[in-house]
Amino acid sequence: MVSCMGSILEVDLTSGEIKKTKVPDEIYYNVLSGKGLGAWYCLKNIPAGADPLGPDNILGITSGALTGTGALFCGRWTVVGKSPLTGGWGDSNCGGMFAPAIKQCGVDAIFFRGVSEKPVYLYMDNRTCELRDASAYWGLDATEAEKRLTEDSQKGKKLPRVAVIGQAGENRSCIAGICNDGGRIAARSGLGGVMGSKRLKAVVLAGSLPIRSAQPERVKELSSVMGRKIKRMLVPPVSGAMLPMVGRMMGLPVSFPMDGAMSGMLLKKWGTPMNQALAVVSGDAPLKNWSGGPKDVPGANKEFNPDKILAMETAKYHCYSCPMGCGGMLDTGKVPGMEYDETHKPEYETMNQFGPLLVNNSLDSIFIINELLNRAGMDTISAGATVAFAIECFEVGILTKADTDGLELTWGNTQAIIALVKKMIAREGFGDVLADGSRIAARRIGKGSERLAMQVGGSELPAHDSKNDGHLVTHYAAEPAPGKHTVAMDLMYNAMSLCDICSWAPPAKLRNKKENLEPTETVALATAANACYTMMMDGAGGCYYGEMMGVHTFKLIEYLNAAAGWGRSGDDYMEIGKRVQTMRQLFNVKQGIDPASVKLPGRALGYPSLRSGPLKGVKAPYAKEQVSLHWKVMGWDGETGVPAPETVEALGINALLEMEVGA
Amino acid sequence: MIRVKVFTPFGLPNKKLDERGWMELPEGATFGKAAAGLGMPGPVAKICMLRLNGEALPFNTPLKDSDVISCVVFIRGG
Repeated sequence: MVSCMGSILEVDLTSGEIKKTKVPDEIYYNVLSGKGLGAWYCLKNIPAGADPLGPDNILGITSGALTGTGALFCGRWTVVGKSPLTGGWGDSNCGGMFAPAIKQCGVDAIFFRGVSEKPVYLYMDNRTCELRDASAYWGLDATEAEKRLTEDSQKGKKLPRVAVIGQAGENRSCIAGICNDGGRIAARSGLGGVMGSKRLKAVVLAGSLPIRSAQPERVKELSSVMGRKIKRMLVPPVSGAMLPMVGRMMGLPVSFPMDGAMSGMLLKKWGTPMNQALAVVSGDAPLKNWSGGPKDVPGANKEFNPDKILAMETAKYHCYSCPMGCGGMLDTGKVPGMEYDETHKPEYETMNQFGPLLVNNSLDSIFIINELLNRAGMDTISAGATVAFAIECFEVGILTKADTDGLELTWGNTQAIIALVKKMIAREGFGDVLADGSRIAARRIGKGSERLAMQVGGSELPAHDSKNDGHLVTHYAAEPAPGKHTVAMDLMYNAMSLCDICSWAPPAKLRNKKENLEPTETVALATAANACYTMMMDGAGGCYYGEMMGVHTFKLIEYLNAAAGWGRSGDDYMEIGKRVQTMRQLFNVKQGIDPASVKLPGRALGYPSLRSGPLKGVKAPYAKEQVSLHWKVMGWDGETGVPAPETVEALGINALLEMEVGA
Repeated sequence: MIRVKVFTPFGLPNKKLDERGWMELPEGATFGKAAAGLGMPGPVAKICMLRLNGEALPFNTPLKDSDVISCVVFIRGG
């Protein structure tokens, strides 16, 4: 594939051996790069039963097939491996400026195996590739370590790009992520803990090799049209205070197709915090550990008005090749109790997980927690859900102050929440009980606490209620890395018009949201199509906000054909997505995960149902049937979720697994 | 003939559209003509904040094949 470098770097941290190896072109043709390349490599090379925190696990850091070609929205890198959180497939992706740096060093991915005796980091540029002593950086938070590694590694004008773990990763937390750009994080799946278990502090990349594409003029033309469109989008005259009113409209029980391009203007202005004001009243945001309605979080809309955040913004920033720029830096010098003068604009997920999910009405505390967790390199989704779990355990008497190191863990106790986050980062006292996420914490606590842990397959649920978006009933449980909203949702499907690039994707229609909670073939086709498309997007290194803009704005198929010099159809590419998704599921089966045992907690399905708000009384009684139909559309067994042998054969997976990388 | 993709307000069905939301128009048709054909003459189109390829363009703008007509919507996410 012209736009890929055609090689990977394999690093054995036990022996110190490093080798650059060629990848057969058939691999790129069949799985692209990014998550697909990672899925192929890990399925082939991680032995069954490997300890996620042991030497047999492999940690992969991958770039995308479109990254660096000039394609917009394609600056995301992906980390892959066996998740210590779920015991199955793990991946997470992240923006910033790190993704192209991988390819500029001449490889599409770096795979680490083994465990180093002492802390090390990998340094790589056009000529050098070596493991270096990281003792001086071990113990530093991710932001500080990145700063020092950048300064210490920079030779000329070229700024090295760094992916690094903080204290959470060093402490082998199962909810640790990997950070870059001073506060961005590949957070999910606990792969920062895997990196820490290998005593790999960082990856520092300073290459400058060119990245090619087959038809650069066509790539440029596609980017020019898209960039112009986004630049000209104007936000209607709506203030942040008006968003809850819009949210109430979104809470109506209707779902309909829409032009996803329109999402760009809101993200340009506010970034993802705009969703907080919409989500509390629309039913999108889980509240009070998934047990409450808007009435249970009074004042949340006023406190989390995104205009307040906008007023603190000192600079907007864009990830690599992003024309939208939803990121921003905030001046937090006047935030009481804040140790740092600035923080990245918190993402919606962070805001909700540490705000309304905990009945915490303090925006200031969100800034503090955001910076603490970004520096520690801990997933805010999992951390927030785990704190919610602990608070509810305290509220119902499962935990007392004797268990919590004296913390009064009541709903909305801001100071106790901040103190607990610090303990989790340091694995100190009660924080150690929670530092590996809610499922492991519930096992440690016992006393029937499992029912209060809002996790699926070990992965904490994010800030989108599956009762509001029925596709999530399927995705949260059926996704091989469960509990992720980023693989797909009804809203995304409505916005993307996949029916215009895929012959089997049903057109989105105006309908009652409850129809998404029914086990119908239409819903199953939609969930499968969306998941397959997202795998393709991940293989390209694409951003979900680009994806959400729809196939008429983000022309992924045209981009891939231009970059690779191919002339493949949408259906061809969707098959790549199905292949990657099937490989990820096969990885789980190989590692002993029983897909049928991965089930959503009752509250995510309306058991017990909410007593107020837009989701009052809403239930998802057919979750098992929905998942089963999704599996069947994927060509997997409807009862077990195991990919059918004929599907595996038809997708050519066995032949791909027999292929070897070559020196 | 040209084909344009249409997202009606709230996804309301419209007989001018095929199952996948495409509308056929003669070569040279304008944004305004398409809007009127959808039952949204100028004032209604303005209230619905109708956009052509994401932009608030004049209604006399000629349409091209594969253009997208849509109204402003709010999309959650994050």
